[in-house]
Amino acid sequence: MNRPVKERKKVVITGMGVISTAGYDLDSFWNTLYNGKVTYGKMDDYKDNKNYRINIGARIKDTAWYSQLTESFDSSMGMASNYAVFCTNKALENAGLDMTMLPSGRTTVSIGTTMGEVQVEEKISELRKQMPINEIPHKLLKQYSTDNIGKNVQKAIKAKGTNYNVPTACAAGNYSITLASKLIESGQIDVAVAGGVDVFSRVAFTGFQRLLSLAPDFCRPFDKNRKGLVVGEGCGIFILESADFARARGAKAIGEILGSGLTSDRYHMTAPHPEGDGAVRAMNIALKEAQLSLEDIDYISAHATGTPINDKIEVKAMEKVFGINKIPPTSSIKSMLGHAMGAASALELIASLQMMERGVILPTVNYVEKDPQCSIDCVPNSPRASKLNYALSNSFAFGGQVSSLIVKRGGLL
Amino acid sequence: MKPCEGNYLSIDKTQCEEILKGFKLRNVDSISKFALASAKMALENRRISIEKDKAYNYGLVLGTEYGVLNSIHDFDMVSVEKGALSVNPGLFPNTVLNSPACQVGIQLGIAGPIFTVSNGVCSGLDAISIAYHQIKSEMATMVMAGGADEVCQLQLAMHESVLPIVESSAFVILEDSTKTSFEHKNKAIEIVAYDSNVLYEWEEKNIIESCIELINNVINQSDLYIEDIGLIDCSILTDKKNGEKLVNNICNQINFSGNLKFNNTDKMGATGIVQLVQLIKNIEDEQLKGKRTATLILNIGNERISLLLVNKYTDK
Repeated sequence: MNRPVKERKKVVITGMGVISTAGYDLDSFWNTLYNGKVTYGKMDDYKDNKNYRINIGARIKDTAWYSQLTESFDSSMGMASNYAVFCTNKALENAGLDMTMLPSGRTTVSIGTTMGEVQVEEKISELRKQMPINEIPHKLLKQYSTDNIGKNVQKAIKAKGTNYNVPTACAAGNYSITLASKLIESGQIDVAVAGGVDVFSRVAFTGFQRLLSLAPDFCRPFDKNRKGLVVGEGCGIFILESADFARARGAKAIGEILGSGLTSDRYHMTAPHPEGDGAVRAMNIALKEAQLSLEDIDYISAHATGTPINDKIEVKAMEKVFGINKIPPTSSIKSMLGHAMGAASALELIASLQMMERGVILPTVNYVEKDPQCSIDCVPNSPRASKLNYALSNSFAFGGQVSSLIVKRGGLL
Repeated sequence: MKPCEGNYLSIDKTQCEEILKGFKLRNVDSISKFALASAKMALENRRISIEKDKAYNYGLVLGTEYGVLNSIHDFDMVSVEKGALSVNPGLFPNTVLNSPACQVGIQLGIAGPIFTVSNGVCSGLDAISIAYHQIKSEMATMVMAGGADEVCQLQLAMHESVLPIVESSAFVILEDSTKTSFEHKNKAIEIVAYDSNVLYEWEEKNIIESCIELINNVINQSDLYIEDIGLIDCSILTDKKNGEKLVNNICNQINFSGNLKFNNTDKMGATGIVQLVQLIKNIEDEQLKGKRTATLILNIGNERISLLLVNKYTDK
């Protein structure tokens, strides 16, 4: 099924940009997570609302990054677009690329999201309580389209090439990165801007609340007393390049994408397949494509949202792939960031690449009591020094969309 | 262009329900049903039956301009007007943008990659391009590429088009011809090339320049020449007169002397897929019987241009 490796161009990651509750630069992001800091808490605007039994959420409060966007972009775009444009500019800077270096017609923008510009819809709903729909400002209405996110990124970097907005829920980052990397592998393009973004959504917060899926205090992946997830937000953007293109301009690779598995559970909109069917296949496809053995994987970035069912099924799937008691060290930074929805897999990939660069595995915090059904080394509570060459990152989404991405530690090209 | 006000055609929901008899569709929203109905018909047309307990390497890509906007807004309005405790949790999954594609995947047993693409009026053609790349990169052996959009009050307030809007849903099936044996090869279309762009300044001069560049790109990607193209099938979100003038300008500059076809309705994210389905249905017409069997499908709107070059399939 897989084309021989020699026919596929190598895909390297040369730049990253981040906005999250752990900070909006890569060092702050790393330091916050390394110190095991929980970046979510009670939300003031929900505390007196009796409709919300739980008011814990992960919201980006620091708006200092906002001033770095030009005024014209700021006022015409929704918040998701603002996040994506900011992170893209940071990723390009990190890659040592400026817009003039992007190859015309051979640069792709591929952005994933769960809810798109949902805060625009939420403002519209609030206005509809006061006015009829035909009095809602057209400028606001125009900001809603999910299409705007990828377009605004492309306009900001003035790149010529294909452009994809791929809403694939909580696996959006992995899906958008895979789409872009396949285009580079096949020689269609040389450079891609790819990643995931989501803003904090009242709709999502309400929905998860009503599904009784929210944690009342902390996200506790793999813990016996885990109760649910924490809704969050953020953005992670990567610059992907063909290794040849990167080498020619003297760039350094932060990482290399070796393989990806995208599958579907075909089971249920909100519950994972009870046997982890999609997850097992995704991990196996990624491993086969990466041409790695099970023992090569040094670390797994788990999807692990902290819900009772998800974490158990993910462990079951990992056991089927790696063998019981043979699962590599596995952690979930959602314990510290909450669940950034479409940005989650992108933020987790940033963290995984940083872990490989620094030789440290970030912990799963808030871990108090072992769950016999999740009996893995989840790197509890403290970071751990470890040489890491290959990492596998899982993300599973509503609708049974499943993804596994394998990356190799970066270096000179 | 102005926001549309009530100028639209809707899908016959009764007919849709008839197609979907036997499916369990509690809490499934309209747009998901539209997509599911057309996906089911596409599988039947190709005579593919999927056993759900087998993980066939089949994928799905759904293009949609507005997606689940109606479902999100209905859900949110209940929360805003009556309080969060009044919302139906069973409707929450409908508010996630990938919901229609996943509903189709779950109902039909799609085990491979499922993508949703939200690229405005170009969503359908761009869905085909993703499906095409999935086949070429061997991520899947068969991919269903579709488009679907429904109409709701909020969307009518947002949408800008001078053409009548039409709720639509359509699917095509893409396969690797070297790995599939199938009947009716004379009714198959080959995907030859694709390209697209986003324009920073949406002006006629830039649109024309970009279209010409993209047309030259797709020609260069193929072993065809402009003279092999018999038809340019256009969907342009502007009035008929200006649209024809723009395309005629492009045709003059690339020395195209074939036929032109202009869509007179706006099918939103389903546009490109419907154009391709109509082309396949007309595959035996005079234009495709002659020498000039290639068709260029062109979508222009929402600051985007996408084009797909297709040709009548021949065994090589």
